[in-house]
Amino acid sequence: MKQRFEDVLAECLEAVNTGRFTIEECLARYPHWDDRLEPLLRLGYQLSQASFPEADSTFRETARERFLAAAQAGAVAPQQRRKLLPALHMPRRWSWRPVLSAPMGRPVAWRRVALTMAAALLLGCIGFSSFAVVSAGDSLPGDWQYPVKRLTERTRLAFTFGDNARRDYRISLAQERLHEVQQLASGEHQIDESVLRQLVDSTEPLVKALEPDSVPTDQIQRITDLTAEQKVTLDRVGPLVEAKAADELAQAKVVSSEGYDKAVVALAAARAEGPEETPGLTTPATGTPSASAGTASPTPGSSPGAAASSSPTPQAGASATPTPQPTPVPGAATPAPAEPTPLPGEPTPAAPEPTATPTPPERPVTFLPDDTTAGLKWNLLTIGDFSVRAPADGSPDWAISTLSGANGDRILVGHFQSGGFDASITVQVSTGQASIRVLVQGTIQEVTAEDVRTLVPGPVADVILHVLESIHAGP
Amino acid sequence: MVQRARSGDQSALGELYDLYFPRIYRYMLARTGNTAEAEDVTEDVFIKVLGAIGGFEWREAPFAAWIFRIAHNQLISHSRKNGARRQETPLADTIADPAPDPLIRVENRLSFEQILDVARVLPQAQREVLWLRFAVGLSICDTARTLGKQENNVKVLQHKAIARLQKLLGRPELERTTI
Repeated sequence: MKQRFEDVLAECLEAVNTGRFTIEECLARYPHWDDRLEPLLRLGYQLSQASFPEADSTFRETARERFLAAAQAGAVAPQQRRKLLPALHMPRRWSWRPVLSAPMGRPVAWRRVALTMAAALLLGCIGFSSFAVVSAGDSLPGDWQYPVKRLTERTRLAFTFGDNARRDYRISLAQERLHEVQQLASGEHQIDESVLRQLVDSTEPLVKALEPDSVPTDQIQRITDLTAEQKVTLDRVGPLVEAKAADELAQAKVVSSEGYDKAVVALAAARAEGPEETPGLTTPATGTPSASAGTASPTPGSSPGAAASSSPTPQAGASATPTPQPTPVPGAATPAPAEPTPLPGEPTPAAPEPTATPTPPERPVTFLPDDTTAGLKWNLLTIGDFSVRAPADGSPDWAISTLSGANGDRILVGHFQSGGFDASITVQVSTGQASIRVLVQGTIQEVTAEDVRTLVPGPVADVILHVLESIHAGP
Repeated sequence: MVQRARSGDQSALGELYDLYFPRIYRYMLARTGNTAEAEDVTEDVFIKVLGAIGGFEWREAPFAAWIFRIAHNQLISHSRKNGARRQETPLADTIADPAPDPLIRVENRLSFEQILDVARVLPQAQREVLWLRFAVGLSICDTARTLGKQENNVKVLQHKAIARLQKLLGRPELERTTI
């Protein structure tokens, strides 16, 4: 049978690339193909010898750790667990049963014991896996549960359908990466390149795909807030970033800065086109900090999706003078030239559901000249029936943020130290429920009001407790 | 090693990772042309491997073909998810020669970027074979199993890919290497 040229070429390439023959030896074996075979064989050899870039060694090592941790944490197939339990799958042809059953006289006893043990082990595996998944939610890079957290995120993303929903979740994931950086900084942990790279990787695609005509305004708003907070955070965490991660830090700053610029433009464009917000989505609550204002930061305990949809009003370091009169908080979250609400006289776009877009409550901020707790100036923040006191601008080291998320608005009052919060209080607007978190021996812990005075310095405790006591929720 | 890995042995899983990571990453880099994407998909592949290794059977395929089948499927899945924002730039059939002197180029080893640039004009099936054969180093047999094709089909695709590359690279007389 006549040999095909493809077969000859394949045979020779395998022989040459595995070192069995030289090119010349192959050509000598097929003299009638010589002219045609030689250039392709040489190119094939060159291709197999080509230099390919290697993966970044840090990524390779951290990915390896995540892989092994995921294996240890139970991210293995049911088949594998099954294999770990040979008693359940003991082939009938094995001779265990007669040997063991003969003296006992009860052939099923051993299998029953084995099944019981196997079931207990399986329950243990399931229990541990569940524990790992649940406890992974708050884990940080470097924790043993962190790979489980990332795996859970990937799984959830895989089961999130629709462009909007996926983008929404991706924004939440980017917020979570930022939150992790802030948490690490709060604990004064070193921030390595993989953490920064994850921040970039989660943000960059969002920014690249940011187009006013294809991304809902509320999501552009979230991306704007996200990148603004990234800028602030990255400026603050510099001292904690490992020296070898300087490039990654620079890149992260570029991505957040360019992302912010692009998002602001997109937001302005989206708003100029009119209020086409998706029904039911949260309208940005308050002004976003300009990156230079440097005060917005999500609560250390915020969950993915809940962080940073808006930001501070009276801010530490902001330059505006406190106003003694109630002042409506500007609706525009960024330096956007257009407002989301239609101008008087403009036609209102027909809404398919007249009740779909709720009117956001008034959010006045009232300066309280008589309140000098902890030597600070204080404001009263009001959202509908809810109100709380918070340090006014000019209060060094204090940041106030309004966070909008799936669970509604929250007010964060946080105290900065060493690039992160060492104490913060987050208040749920709808319920008035407060959560206090403080830095204890390097880790952020949720504590009760009773513990605050023993765990944080006096003036900081004074502020936290004053905020707590001032909460008024409901009519 | 694979047997131990199947039973959850950490050191065996580590060895498997060390053995296959560079090749899978190389394949992903070649296919995506993007470091970040290559890293993401490579990591996803290993997570998938964890989930599937319990079901691996030697009689069905060699391990290399099995793991690259997972990698290939993961890549397809990734491409579908990201298809909307992916922007592949079609290149012209002729590639500008960056080297001032053809002889200089002939004496240099082919670089990844060079091959990547040229390979973009190849049909996808040829590209897949090209990368699996020459970037990853799979045999014809394993390449066929990975792609779910017949070996003959892979040989034909390989021939077409190399012939096209030869034309595009404009190097009828390649370096006469004695090996």
